[in-house]
Amino acid sequence: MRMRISLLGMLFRQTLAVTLIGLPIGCLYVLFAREPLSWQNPWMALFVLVHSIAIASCFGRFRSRSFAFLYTRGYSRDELWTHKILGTVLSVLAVWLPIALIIRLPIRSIVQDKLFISPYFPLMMMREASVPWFWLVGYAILLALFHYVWIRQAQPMRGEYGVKLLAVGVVVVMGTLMLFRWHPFWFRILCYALSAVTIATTLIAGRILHRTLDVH
Amino acid sequence: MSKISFSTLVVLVAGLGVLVVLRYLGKTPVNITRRQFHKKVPYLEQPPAGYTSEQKRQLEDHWFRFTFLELSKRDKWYGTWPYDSDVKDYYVRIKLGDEWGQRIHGGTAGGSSGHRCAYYPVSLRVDFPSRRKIIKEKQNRFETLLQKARLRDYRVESAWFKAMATYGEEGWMKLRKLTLKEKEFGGVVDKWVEWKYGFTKDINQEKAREVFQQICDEVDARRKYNSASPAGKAVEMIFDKLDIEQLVDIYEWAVKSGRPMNSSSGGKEISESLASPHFWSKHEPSEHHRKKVLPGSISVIGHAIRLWDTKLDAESHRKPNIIEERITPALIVWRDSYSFGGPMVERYLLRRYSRERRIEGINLKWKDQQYHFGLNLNRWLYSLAQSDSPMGRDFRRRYRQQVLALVDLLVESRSNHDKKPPEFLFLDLDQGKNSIAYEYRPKYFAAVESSDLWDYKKLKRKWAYLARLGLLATFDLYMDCWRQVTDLHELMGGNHLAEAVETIPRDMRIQAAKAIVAELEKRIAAKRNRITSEKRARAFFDEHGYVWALKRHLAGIGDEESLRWWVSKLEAGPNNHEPEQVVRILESDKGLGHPLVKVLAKEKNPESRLLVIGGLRNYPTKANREILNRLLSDSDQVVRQAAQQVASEVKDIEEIPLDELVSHPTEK
Repeated sequence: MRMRISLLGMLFRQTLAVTLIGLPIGCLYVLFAREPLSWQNPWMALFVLVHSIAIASCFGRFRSRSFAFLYTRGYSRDELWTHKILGTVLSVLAVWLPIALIIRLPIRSIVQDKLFISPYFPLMMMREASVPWFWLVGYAILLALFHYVWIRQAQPMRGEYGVKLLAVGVVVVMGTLMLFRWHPFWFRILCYALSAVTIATTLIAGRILHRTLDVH
Repeated sequence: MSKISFSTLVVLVAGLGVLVVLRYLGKTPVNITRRQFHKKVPYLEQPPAGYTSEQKRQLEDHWFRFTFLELSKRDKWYGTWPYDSDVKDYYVRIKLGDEWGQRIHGGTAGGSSGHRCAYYPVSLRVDFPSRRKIIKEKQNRFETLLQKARLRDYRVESAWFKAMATYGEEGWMKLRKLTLKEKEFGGVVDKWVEWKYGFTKDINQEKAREVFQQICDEVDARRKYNSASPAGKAVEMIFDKLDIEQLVDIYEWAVKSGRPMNSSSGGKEISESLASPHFWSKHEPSEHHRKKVLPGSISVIGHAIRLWDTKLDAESHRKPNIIEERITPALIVWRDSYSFGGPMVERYLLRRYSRERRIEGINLKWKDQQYHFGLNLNRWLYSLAQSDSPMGRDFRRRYRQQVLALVDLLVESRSNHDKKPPEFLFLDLDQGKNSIAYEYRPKYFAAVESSDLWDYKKLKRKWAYLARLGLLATFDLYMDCWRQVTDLHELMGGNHLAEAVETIPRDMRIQAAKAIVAELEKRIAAKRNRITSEKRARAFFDEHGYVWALKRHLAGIGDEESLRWWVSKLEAGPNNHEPEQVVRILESDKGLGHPLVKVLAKEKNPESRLLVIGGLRNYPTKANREILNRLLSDSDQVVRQAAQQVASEVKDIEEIPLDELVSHPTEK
């Protein structure tokens, strides 16, 4: 399978509006949030959730005519799926990367230090540097799952509510784990392992089910 | 499962048998679960035969009573506490061999700690008459070891250290405390550490690393560290030979790990007894900590880093050192603490203070609070006020009113029973009469005056405050404090007045004490002819007592006039008890280096020369041995014989083998 840049570009443009709205919101938040950022930051967690839902919705409008049009252009199902996932990655990176750079480079640090005279900066920069990676893992889990949701919904035998409940359940579990500030080391390793399994499972299952997608 | 623990105080001996109401539980320290305890020990409604209440001081009583908090789970519970509690009395005896321990007044202490009273310690203050002789003999052996050191002009060798080491931590701490009064033992302490760890004064870096590693391994194994111990002293002696970057790397890793630095720590009592800052820490595994506690060697490294920080700050206060650049930010970010100074901490504190300006209050957020002296203080203000740096000085100048308000709170606090002023009050004395300490003086004196302290303590506090003011405190200020004492009896005796006078700096002390003596003598002269009642006679003699106490004190610090006065009071007579007083003083720890020894040894009156004999025996220092040698050829036979007796005792001490002076001679 080769990479089709024009297809990728077209798919990326589908999420352009979401990117153009999400990017300034995310960047402004990390620039001006006064308390030190942590992986449990509830606003960023909400941002990642809403952004993921928005991206998955853009790619998964399986009842729309544009969706059907794309699926009748001669691309294989696997090709379309792969390019949608790549488009998802690009959309996420388009928002996540600037946010991560604002945190890792001393941009946030300078704004907080000079503009807000924050006591935490530039000291907290070293601690915040690893936080964006947690958000990226959050994106990976949620987007793999939400893609699976719309693919499952687009099946001939829909099972709509079941898969939505699954998504809600996973989000609730993630939210609950975030409420606890500290987890034992073994539990953290278990969570990382389970996350990797969840991402892999939902991606593989999504790819397989995508082949039997119902296109109207 | 909650646990009960029995241990003994006073005689800290393990292996004492614990009997609770005729059931033998084992040897102290006894750790037992509540379930096992209730299974083994029946509850008695009435005390056992032979028990007398703690209110009556019965020396022969062996029974201790301790109060136990019994918990029983409720069937239905409401609120946050699911247990019903009841208080029950149990009775316990302690046995050593065939002897029952006697209860010392205020004998038992028990209390629950932790969630659901998870740990209940019972401490028993017990005395064994047969052990008193053993303890006394042990103390005598220890004193004899010290005498041997004095006889060798404090130049002792490994055999002496081996013998001293048998006294353990107790012996070490006694020796360290001794260095405060007898500075020559400071060299002995250093030599002891060098002997213990096998290094010399000109230690090189490689050897220092080896010694440091040895200390770290020992502390890791023991899981506790005390900076006042031989290990801590060794760290003080070798830290500057260690690689600071390596130390910082390890400590930074420890700080960032998020693991508890220790399971418990403290050091206030050690710091007070040694008059210098010290700390101890334990590194036991703990159920209360989520993460594994860091090993003890981290405390050793922390100690070395603190020493390095002090050294680097002394070399250059302006540039931040490597500790302030790396450890300080890590401590703030990962531990929310700021043990070390530096510009980063100062900026952090200033900015935190700019966001929370209230001085104190229960409404302060927990992260902005520091609990001290029963007050919820603004943590940032408190830390900034204590900073001894250019920024700190600038802060105290800019926020003078807030700092004064803080000082007011600390001094007036009910928990500040001794009315101690905060140390940071005296950091800006270079500003002279514009300094905060000088401005606050009248308010402080008013606070002390209105407190519940005894009058002599009030005087002591005020004079101590003036002493801290240094040159800003004039002679008149000291005398004004004295003149505020309206009733001399409230000073509770001449010794207390002498104790208060000791707080006055030496250069001012003689002048002030003589002025007080002159005022008292004027009063005495005025009253002499007006003694009309027993009450007035008693008052008259009390004032004499204060005069004498002050003059003795002045003699003790070398005032020639007072020495001559004291000698003049030593004429023999049936009602003259002053010679006995002199002997008592010269034989006590105040006798070491007392100027009266030299003066009396040269007196024409042989009875005066005889008074120094006890002091020469107790403190055979080089100077005293020279006096003793002179007295050996004294013109008076009685003096000669007494000197010969002391010389013989000193020779006996020299000849005692060191292995007979160990802590437990039978356990060789």
